[in-house]
Amino acid sequence: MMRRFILCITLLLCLYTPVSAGNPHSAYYSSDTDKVLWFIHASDIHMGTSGSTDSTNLGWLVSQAKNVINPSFIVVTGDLTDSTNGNFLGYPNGPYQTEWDQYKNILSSNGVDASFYFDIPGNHDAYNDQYFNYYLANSVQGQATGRTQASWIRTGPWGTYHFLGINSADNTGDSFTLFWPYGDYAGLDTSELSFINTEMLAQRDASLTLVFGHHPLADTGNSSDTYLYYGKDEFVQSMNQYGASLYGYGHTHVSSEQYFSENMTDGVFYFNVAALGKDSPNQFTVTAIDCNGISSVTQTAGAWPVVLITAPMNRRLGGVVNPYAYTVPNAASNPIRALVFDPAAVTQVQFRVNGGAWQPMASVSDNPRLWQGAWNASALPEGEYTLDVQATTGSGVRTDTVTTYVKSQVLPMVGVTTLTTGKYVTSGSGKNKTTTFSPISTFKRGETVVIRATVKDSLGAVVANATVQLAVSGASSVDLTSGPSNASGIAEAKWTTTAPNKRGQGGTPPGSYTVTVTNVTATGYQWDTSAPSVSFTIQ
Amino acid sequence: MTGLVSRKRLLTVVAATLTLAFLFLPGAFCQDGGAGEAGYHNQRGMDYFKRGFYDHAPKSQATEAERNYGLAIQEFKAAVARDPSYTEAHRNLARVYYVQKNFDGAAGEYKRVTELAPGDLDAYVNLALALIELKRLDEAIQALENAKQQTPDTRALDALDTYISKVRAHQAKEVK
Repeated sequence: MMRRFILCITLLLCLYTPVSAGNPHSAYYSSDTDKVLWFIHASDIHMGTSGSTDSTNLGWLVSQAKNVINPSFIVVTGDLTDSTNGNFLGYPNGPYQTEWDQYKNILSSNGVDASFYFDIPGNHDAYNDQYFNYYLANSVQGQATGRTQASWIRTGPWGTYHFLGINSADNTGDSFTLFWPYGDYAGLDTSELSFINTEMLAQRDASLTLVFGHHPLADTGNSSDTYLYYGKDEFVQSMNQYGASLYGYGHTHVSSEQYFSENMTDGVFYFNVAALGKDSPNQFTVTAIDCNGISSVTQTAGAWPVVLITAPMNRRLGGVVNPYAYTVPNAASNPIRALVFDPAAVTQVQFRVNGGAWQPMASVSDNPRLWQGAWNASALPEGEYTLDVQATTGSGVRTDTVTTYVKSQVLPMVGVTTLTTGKYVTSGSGKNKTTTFSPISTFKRGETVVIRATVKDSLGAVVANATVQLAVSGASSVDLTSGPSNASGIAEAKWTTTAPNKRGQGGTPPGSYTVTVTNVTATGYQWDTSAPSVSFTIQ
Repeated sequence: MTGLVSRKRLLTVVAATLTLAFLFLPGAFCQDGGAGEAGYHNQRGMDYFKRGFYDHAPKSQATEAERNYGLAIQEFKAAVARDPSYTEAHRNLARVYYVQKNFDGAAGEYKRVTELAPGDLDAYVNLALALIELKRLDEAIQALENAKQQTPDTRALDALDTYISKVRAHQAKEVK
């Protein structure tokens, strides 16, 4: 009754509090290299499983993987223990303190603490333990917080990111059984939902919100996979309301990258990671957030190097068009960034586009795990492109691939509206001496032809700092480039003609000439290709 | 006046007695499963079991856990003494025995559960687990085969076949 009351109060608070939640659409493409955060997501350690590499892999995760990858944190989404105590049928009839002792010993001997390691319960941690007493007495977060759910933030040049670990395990303390739901009637009860809402509300100013739980949100299509049977709608509604970007989970012992949008306005990245400790292939995921863009790579424990392209974002995440991915401009120096992790030396990192020639990348000086390259996309037509980043290290060669969309930049037009020839005329003397531009179309040989172009954009506004290229044709020809246009949009080019010698020989040939605009360049504009011309005569 | 006071006192005493009875003798009123005293003892057994199982599981408190397990066993035995067909009490007793590594006792109680509730497939698997601990692998396989006779559920049958294969593989390894 009290729990329902608390939930109602929380929901009412949510309704009456203006929500400025995380924004999954806030990812942006930038050359900034200081806005990259990454973490490890692992799941299903199953400590105590007969014949598995559970303890080896957990030890590896919190020692070598932690040291080499140097993640912001590690989140482990449940089934920390197997609840079988090694019985070779694999029938979970625990909990067993010996499994928890083994789990704790591995973590403590590697200096793991609650500021860095976020372990949440799964169904194997809940059998016969309705109130999660074993989890609370033995897990890192359970011991530190006295709760079965965790909430933490990371703040940096990127702002604040909010992370939430939820307890999706059964709340009845049922034993495992051979029949559905296998002692795992998974879900979120009122107190669990209340915590989730309270934390999302408290961190509503975070730029992004990422959530982790043990179970999938919905039916996976495999009848042996349990999922959220209660509390799902309320939870999805909260994720939607607070703009969550990602839901990461385990439980199924397979890895996948999908997108979940059921009853959501936009949806969340829906990342499933295979078991680290039980069943092959013993995988883990590195997830990065680069300028608010999320990327991830899943790899088998102990296999190096790990390569993860963080920018640009993958447009084809999970096989569908990623609604949160940005497009890439057809610019001359587009940044490509990738994280490369390896205990051995990294000898080369390079990228290529659509299987073309490899181009070099260099390590970022203050972030040696981050590599960057410059991609000239200026000549590419609009469309999808495949980017590969390949790292060569002392451990081997590995490639990560993303798909990105190059979008032609639509720049405002600029052109020359008036083109005039003339010369500067000085009149007066002393203090009254003035020089003015006098439009004329007939010049004597040896005079300087001044060509004035007025540069305006498509709306008729004058454009300063534009440069005009001109071609003079006639009895002789010459190409000219103006200086930058002034505040009135006037760009000026000069052609100094040559007078004949004393014998009347040589000099610029007399005759009719035409000067024509051949290009206009101005930052942030594109030439409208109009080519006005004006004629003049050399006598 | 004196008689009135006495009646009031009497009513107070009756009400207090009923309240105390309700508070301290809950077995007959609010227990699930077994009825009457058997249910009451089963519930008390579970309370002790959980205290040992949950609160005192860390090694430093093993003695306290053992004491609670002992008390739990007493209560479950009292429950089955009062109602020998009380399946839940047999199942709970089997579980405490198993946790205490009294696999002989666990096997006996799980066997009884399979007799009382032949459709409880998990009891057969737990029986098999206890028999495996006792190295009585043939009997473990037989228990799992017996379970297969109790269900048409293909997923359960698959799981049982997997278990049987694992026991046979273990048996073959033992022979080698």
